[in-house]
Amino acid sequence: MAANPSILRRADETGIPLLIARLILGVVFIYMGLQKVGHPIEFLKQIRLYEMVPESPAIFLNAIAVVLPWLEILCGIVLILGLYLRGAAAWLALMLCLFTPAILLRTLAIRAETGTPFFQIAFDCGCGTGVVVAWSKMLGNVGMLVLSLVIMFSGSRRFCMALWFERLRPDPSFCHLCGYAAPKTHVGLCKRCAQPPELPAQPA
Amino acid sequence: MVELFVVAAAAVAIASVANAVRGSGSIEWTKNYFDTGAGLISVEGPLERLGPTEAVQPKHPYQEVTFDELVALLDDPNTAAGLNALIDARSDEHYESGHIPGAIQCDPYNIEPYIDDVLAQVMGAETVVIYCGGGDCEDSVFMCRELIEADVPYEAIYLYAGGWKEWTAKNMPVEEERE
Repeated sequence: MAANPSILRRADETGIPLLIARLILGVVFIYMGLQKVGHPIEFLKQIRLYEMVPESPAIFLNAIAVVLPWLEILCGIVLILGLYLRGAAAWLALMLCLFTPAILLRTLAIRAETGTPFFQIAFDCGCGTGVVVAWSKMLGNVGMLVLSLVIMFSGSRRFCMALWFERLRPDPSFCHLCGYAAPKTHVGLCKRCAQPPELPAQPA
Repeated sequence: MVELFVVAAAAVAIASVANAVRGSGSIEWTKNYFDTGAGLISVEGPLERLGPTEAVQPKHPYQEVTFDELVALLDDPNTAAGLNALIDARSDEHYESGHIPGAIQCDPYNIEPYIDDVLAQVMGAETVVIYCGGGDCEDSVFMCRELIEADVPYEAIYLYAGGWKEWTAKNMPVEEERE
C-alpha cells in the first residue's frame, strides 16, 4: 500500500464509490434490458435504423436483438451482486462506446435531413426509454461510461459477493478485512490490516 | 478477459433459451425480416433517387394506391362481397388501438398466428391492399413479401403508402374491434 495514498485512492478504499456506481449502473441496465426483452421486434427495428450492422446475412442483426437485452440484464444483476465486476463493466463500457457515437451520427443525420436544431432533436434511440432528447441521452451515456470505468479500475471489493469467494481462495487477490486489492497478502490480509494495532503507552 | 467471456457466454445461453421458449414474438435467428421481396418478382415498382448524383433505385417493388383510391375501394360493393381485402401490417397493440374499418391484421414479424386466416381471405381476391404506420414505416412492404412467398398473385397486391398516419390525419373513421 502507498505510504500516502491519494484522495481518490482513499475514497476507493472505502468501497463507497464502487457501490454507488454498481447500484446506479445495475438498476439502469436491468430496467433498459427488461424493456427491450419485452419488445424484441421493436428493438430489432431500432437497431436496423442505425445501419451499423448489415441486414444480410440476417444472423448478425437478429443475434444482437436476441442477446443484447439479456447481456444488459445479466451485467446489471452481477454488478448489483458484486460479481465479475470488471467483465460486466467492460461490456457496458463497450456498449456505451458504440451506442453513443451511433446516437450522435443519427442525430446529425436527422438535423441534415430536417433542419431541426441539434438540441431540439428527439427520437426513440432504442435503449428502452422511448423517445428521448438526443443530447441529454448522449450526456447520460457519458456519465454511465464514467461509472463503468470507476468499476473497472476500482481496487476495492468491499460490499461485493466476489469478496466472499476471495476468502475461499488460498491465494486471495483482495484483503479479507478491508476488501482492497493486495497482490501479496499475509494470511489473507493486506500489509496494513496485517500489522498489529499500536497499543497506547503503559504508565510506568 | 475470463470475466468478459463468462458474462458473454452466460448471456448468450440465457438469451437463446428465453428466445426459444418465448413462442409468440420470438426472433428467428436466420430470417431476414427486412427483405422487400424484390428478388421474387421481376416488375419494378415506384422509384426513388437517393441523392442528386445517385442512381435511382426501386423503393419497393409493389404497386401503390393513393388515399382516394383506397376510399373508393372500400366503398366498392365488391369489397363487402369479399372480392377485395385490406390488411393492417402493424402489431397487436397498434391494431387494437384503432385500424381502418374492415382491415384484418397480419403482423409480418409474428405471422404464424395470422397467416392461415389471412390467406383464406385474400386468395382469390382481386385486390389486396396492405398498410402500416405510414411515413418511414416499411412493415407493409415486408407483409407484401410474405404474401408473394405464399403465392398470392403480384398483380393483386397493392400498398397504401400513406398508411395509418395519413388516414388519421384526414380524420377518417376508425374501428377498434378485431375483424
